[in-house]
Amino acid sequence: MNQPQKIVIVDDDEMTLELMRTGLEARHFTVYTAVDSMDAIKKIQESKPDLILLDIMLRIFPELNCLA
Amino acid sequence: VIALTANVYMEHLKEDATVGFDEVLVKPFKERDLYEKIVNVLKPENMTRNGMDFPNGKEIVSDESLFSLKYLEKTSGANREFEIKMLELFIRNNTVHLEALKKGVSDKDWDAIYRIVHKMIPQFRYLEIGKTERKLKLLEELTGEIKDLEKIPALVKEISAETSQILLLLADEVDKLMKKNRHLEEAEDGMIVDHEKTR
Repeated sequence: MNQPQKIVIVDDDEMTLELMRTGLEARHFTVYTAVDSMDAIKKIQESKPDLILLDIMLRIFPELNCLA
Repeated sequence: VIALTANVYMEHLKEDATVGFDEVLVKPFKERDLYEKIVNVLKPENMTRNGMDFPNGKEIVSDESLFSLKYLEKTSGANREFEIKMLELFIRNNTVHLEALKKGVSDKDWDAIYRIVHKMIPQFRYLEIGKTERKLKLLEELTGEIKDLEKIPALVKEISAETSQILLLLADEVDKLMKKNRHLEEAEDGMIVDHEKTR
């Protein structure tokens, strides 16, 4: 059995986070969510995700500019 | 990295905004798009097209019904508890947003209004509140481009009135869903009792 793939979702809208989490967990991904850039950096460092879904508005935070 | 954006008019995005991202996903996302984009980026062998059995329904924007739970139902696989949680989130968030909009108007803080509206729009799309969403988009445009500022107070008033009405209807909907959940649990308990009686 393959390890489930890990996804970090970064968005400041809780509804978006929860809708995506539900859809992706049903598809057997391991999902981590973050509401701001500091939270995101922590989750990304901890989980070493296969993929990051990042709200484009949050890119104005310089901490996250390294991602793209 | 996949970029998430609430802006459907991609040409409005500055070109450099999406540079460096592998894919761009517009909110509200369709499950199929979300999964396809993830497959595109990850390309894992164990993800086949068989995994994509989501119904690809057309967007329903109707003025006749004020809101619709279809999108929530589809995305959650008709999970009632999840729907209740989402509606409660919507009610809580937008009660705060309405107060903040009023304050924005009295402070003439257009930037604050722009940021609030930007957060409201995807939430209104999730519940398919088409009529008010169109007004929110207009408000986003006016405050984003700082134009026709004299129209803003009346527009905010309309949005507030419509949203207040929606919040009441949604609170009723939450009650209904909770009742249905309780009936279901009671019915299940009843079945267990019957089953024990037959022993």
